[in-house]
Amino acid sequence: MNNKFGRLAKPYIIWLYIFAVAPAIVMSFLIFTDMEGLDLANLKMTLDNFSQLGEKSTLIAFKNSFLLSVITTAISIVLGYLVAYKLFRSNFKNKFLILVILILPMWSNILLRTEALANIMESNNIVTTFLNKIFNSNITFPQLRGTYFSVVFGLVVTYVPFMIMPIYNSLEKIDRSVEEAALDLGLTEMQKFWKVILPMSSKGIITGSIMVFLPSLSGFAIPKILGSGNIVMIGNVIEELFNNMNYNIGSLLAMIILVVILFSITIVNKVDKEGEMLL
Amino acid sequence: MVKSIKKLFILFVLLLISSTFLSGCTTRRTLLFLNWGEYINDDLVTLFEEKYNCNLIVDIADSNELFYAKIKSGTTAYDLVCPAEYMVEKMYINDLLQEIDYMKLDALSGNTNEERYQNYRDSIMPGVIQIEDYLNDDMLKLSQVLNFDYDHARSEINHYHMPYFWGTFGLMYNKLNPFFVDNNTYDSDGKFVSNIPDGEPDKLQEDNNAWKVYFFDDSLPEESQLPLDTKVGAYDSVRFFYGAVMTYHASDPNVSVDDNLEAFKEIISRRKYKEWGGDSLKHGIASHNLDIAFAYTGDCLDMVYLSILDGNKLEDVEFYTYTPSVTMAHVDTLVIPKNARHVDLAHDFMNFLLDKNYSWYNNRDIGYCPVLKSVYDMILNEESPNKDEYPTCYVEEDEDELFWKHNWRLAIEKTFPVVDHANGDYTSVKTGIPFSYFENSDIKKLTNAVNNVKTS
Repeated sequence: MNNKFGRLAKPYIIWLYIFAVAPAIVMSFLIFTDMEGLDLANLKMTLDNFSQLGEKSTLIAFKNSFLLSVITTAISIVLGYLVAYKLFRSNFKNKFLILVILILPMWSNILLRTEALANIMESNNIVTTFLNKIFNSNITFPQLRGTYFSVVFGLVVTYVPFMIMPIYNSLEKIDRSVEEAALDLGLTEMQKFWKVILPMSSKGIITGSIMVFLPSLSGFAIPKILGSGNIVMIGNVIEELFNNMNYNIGSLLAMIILVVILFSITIVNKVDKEGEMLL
Repeated sequence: MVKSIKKLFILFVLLLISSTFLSGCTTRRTLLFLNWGEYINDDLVTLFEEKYNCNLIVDIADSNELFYAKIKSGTTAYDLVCPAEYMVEKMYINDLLQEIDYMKLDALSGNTNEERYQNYRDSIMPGVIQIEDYLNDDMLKLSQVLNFDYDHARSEINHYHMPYFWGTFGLMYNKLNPFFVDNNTYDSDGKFVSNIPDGEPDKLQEDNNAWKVYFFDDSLPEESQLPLDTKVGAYDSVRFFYGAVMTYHASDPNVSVDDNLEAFKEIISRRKYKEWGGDSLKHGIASHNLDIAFAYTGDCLDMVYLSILDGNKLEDVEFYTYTPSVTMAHVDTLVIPKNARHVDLAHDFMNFLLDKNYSWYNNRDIGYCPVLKSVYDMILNEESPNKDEYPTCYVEEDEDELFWKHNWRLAIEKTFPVVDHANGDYTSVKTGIPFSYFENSDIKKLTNAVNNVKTS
């Protein structure tokens, strides 16, 4: 029986080997070479690529990436938990509909949404044009685009659904009788939340955090568009290097990100022995 | 095991059969054209397909480096590619291109290849010739450094490409900002007369201060400096921005960066740029979220054309571009890769574009300067293709069309002025320096310098 299901997974495993493992191996090799593009004829082995790690802009890009994705994750946890909890507590019959509405924005293209957000964050945008046409006035919005705030805002708006879903799922799994028992044993509503509900939904929080943290860490489109090119995250540096056919240093930085990602997933696996957190 | 091999085999045979059937459906030849985005009039594609009974597939890439990577890897056999001049140099050096056979281009006259090339050279704008000569000299230098044979007298590199559009780089600015009062003078007809008007001078154009104003030169008196709250945009392709900085710095933008790296760092750190972008800059200025930015002249004209089509007269368009008297120039040019499959069809396309009427039609959609003198003339004389000979690219001459043609002419005349057009002189008023190819290590140094400024 088990073997049969194992065979079903084969296509995906092959896929994984071709498109994830093989490129990672090639990239690990590229780190130690110097060539233009993938020009094997003029290949040179070198350790010079590592000097890029001492570059001030690279360090700041790493710092920006970690800082902004931690902030994004923290904000998403708070917002996501509130929404998921409200939904969980509500007596609304068709909760599925609400969940669909929550992920509705994701049906449109992410770049399009980000560009639209960027427009609204400019001082002259579609709303001011409209208002100024009607009232013949000269209204401008505050200039938000190009600031750290705008990037964090964009990241939160984009990734918060990834937080709501797992938290809601883990809340739904909590047995009502556990809550009743907690109240019977003399806990107040507040205590019940902190001591029973929150710990029991922590799996969802951790899964959601991974799903928000990782794309925020490695993404480049949102900081590029909302940061007006002024806010450099590590994804932007990697994109720029690949665009200029500098695959070697690009691979180096990308592999560092990959190691960080694998490391954080290992930690979660260690903490969560039953493997229940990653739903 | 045997069974599954059998199944696989049957599947394979079926695939083979179906693919032969499907390919039978399209006996038409297909020209694969790798181009920039929004860089060909879509209607022209149809015209070409009808005229030559073939398919024209336009693929898009957004950087010269990507063009190179695609040709080098050769996974898709493109028949035509449209890189800029410095990438042509690199493709030529790496032996990726094949020579154009001018004998296949019937639009040109002459009995030998060389005569026809000369005929072609006589028909193109001096601005393009300037770039071609620069390329030729540059290749001679490179051939001595890299040790290969190069026929300088024959202008060999220029036998490998055919210019598609060309243009300059300039400073696009928002006319509503009081600093950039547009003091250009127009006659009663709305025709542009002069950049140097009477009365209060335009601070950007006065004494050719444009670069100094843009890069915050402290030798300028305070009243000529951009106010501190001016929203300035910078081009995020380091190769181009470096060119602008070096033009301002009066250094050769095409030699190794080591000598000028410190100056580059100092100059770009003088002000905080509101935005580092590419195409987003022109939209930023058009929506008044930026006041001035370094950009392709043609990018600005694209936006100007849209505004004209909305019914605005050229002088009423709220933004424009100023081309400093010394600036960077570029030419995007058609090349045929070595592994092209439809070489004849690629030549047909070149031949097609040598017809001024089709070129004119293509140019309507694209804000860059035409390569052919005859097309430039058509625009300046507000001509149209002959209705009987070219029914497909004739546009009905209603009020809108006449308005468009008039303002199109004014825009071209103002942006790409030539010395004495009436007497047949097409020499550019401005000097354009083309880019030559940079090593990867140099690009890396520049990118790091820019990123250090952004993050400081």
